[in-house]
Amino acid sequence: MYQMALRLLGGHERDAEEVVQEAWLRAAEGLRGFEWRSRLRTWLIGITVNCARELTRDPTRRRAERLDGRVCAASVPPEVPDPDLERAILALSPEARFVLILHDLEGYSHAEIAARLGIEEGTSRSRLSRGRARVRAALDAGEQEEEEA
Amino acid sequence: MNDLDTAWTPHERDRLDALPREREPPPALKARITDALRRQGTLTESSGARPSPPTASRWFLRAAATVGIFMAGALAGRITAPGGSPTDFVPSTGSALAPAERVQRTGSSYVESVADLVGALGSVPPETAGQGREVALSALRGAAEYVVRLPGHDPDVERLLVELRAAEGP
Repeated sequence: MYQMALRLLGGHERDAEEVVQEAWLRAAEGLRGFEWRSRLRTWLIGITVNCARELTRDPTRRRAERLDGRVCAASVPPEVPDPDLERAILALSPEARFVLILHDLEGYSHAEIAARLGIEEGTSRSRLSRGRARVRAALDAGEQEEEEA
Repeated sequence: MNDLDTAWTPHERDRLDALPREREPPPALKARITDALRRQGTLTESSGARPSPPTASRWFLRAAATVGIFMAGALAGRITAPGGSPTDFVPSTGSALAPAERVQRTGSSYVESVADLVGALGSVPPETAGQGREVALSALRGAAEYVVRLPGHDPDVERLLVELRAAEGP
């Protein structure tokens, strides 16, 4: 849950901690309503996504992310397995980042993402496409810099 | 432009697949969540500190309580896992958890307790280990008596119950 929240929130540790705490509280409250047909992890991820989404929609937080988003994405620790890729994902806009993480890392379908985020499937597809293009461009730029150096 | 136009190459896909899906949260966060759950009334602190390393006598007391109460589980189990909060938790008395939830909550605690006992075998008197074994068998047999009544015929469970009854004696 923590890794997921951290990525969704662009690497903001404090926000990720807030989201994980809130998600656990909601999970504890909602455990009685949990349908045992689905996997517990899927259910917990759903709650985490909801909490993260609510936080990113907060106008105060959105302003803060615009100001320090670059700093957060740049501060990916070197021990991360693929820091360039991690950094490129964290630097995406929240809209593209959510869809890319859910689709390409967590394996959600566009229909599931659309339902979870309250958007159209077509919107999910276009955000994914935009996100992938930006990640690819960031990786290419990084490789080019390395070659020039 | 749609997502098919920007599909990842196999190399890019491998890089994405290699990204970690889990990360250990900061210890302070675990403590904060535990406190918040306690304030919420979801968790209540029960007995004292968890033995580390476990001893069979402490295990015996804990297991004896576990047989009667049946505690822990998916949520509390994660929090009380090694490296987590050093306390045992039980659902608060006010919460009426559905039976299936309680079964999930208790299973991991029971297995963990028996594993603790096994881990402590080298450092305890044989009679203490024997008492622990009796408690573990009683709990196992008690559960098996009910599992065979659940829907879905399972000959393995029935055989297990017969063996457990025989092992426990009249």
